[in-house]
Amino acid sequence: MKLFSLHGYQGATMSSIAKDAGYTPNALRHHFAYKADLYVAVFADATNYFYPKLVTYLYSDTFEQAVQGSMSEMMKLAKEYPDHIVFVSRAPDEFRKHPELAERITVRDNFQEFFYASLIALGRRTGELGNLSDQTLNVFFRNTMQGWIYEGVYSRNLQDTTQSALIKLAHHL
Amino acid sequence: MAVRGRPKGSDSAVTKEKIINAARVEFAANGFDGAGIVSIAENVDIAPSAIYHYFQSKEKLYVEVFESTASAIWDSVFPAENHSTLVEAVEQLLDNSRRLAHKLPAHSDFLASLPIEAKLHPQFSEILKQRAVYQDKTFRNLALLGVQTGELHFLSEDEGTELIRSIIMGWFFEKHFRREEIEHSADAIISMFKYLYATNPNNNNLAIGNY
Repeated sequence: MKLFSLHGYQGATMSSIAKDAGYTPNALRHHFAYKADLYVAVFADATNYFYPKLVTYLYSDTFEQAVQGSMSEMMKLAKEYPDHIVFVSRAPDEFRKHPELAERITVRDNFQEFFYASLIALGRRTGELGNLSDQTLNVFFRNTMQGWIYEGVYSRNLQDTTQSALIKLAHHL
Repeated sequence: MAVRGRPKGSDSAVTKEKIINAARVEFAANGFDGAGIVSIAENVDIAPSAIYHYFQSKEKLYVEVFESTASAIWDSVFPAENHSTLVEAVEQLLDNSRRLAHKLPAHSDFLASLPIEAKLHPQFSEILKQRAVYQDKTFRNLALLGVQTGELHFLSEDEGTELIRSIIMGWFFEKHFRREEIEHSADAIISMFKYLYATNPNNNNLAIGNY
């Protein structure tokens, strides 16, 4: 994963990965016939570090707590596991360049759909979300929180200012 | 087969421009590492060595492509006219961005992939800083407008800037990655800003409704 993060899918070679892990290229090929298989496996492993943790915040008492908690968790995880976060966040760029990977990796899209739908459902149950439609809220929060992650991963660290802005916005709804 | 020697009747500046345009497409499609000087040369119908006559290195070429791209795009994206409301300014920004992506797709793609390339290649940190300066100005101006009109009355200027940054960049990046806008994403963004406009305590008429 380190090499995929550093050099991208195209740049990382099976032999360099094998060498870095302390294996011979043949030993690596015994487990992963193609680089794509390795990438898919690494991706599944990386998402296990944080998807389950983010899900726990969907059980918060309020929508605001769920937004606050999941964003705090992301900021914590980005410090603890920077490589994992960068790797998963770079995925859409890799998928754009290598559509064959996109076909095989659906876990990210599936997770996002589940997470944001559940988040909005929570807000509806508590009555915190007012006049805007479910679709608008779902798409808006997904768009904005993902935008926060992209900017945080690519250019600057994840900003807690954005978190307080979103909480205040949620409060205002 | 690449033509050897100086093409007949060529203007040095025209060739340089052609190289930059071809390089932009190549960098946008394949990234800095994956971009091939041979490919670029073929597209301009010159020998690869001729490229180095104009640009000492692939890195220098990348930086010049950035400078040419940024100056073409950035001034056109931010709403030129003074808008009286944030919702209108955001609508205009999305519209401008959409039109530019349609008219100058390579420009848009190149700029979108810049942060990722800069992360992979720390030598581009300077142009990443330029991008940050431009973006900060754009988003802060929008936030200031929102604070002034009252549409963002519940946020500080800093919070408004970061919120708008996340909204716009979320839309922009997803559109870039998926090669098309996420369905309803622009609608959802505008609906949210219309809601903020409608619930602005500074308004004389409050319009409550479903969006």
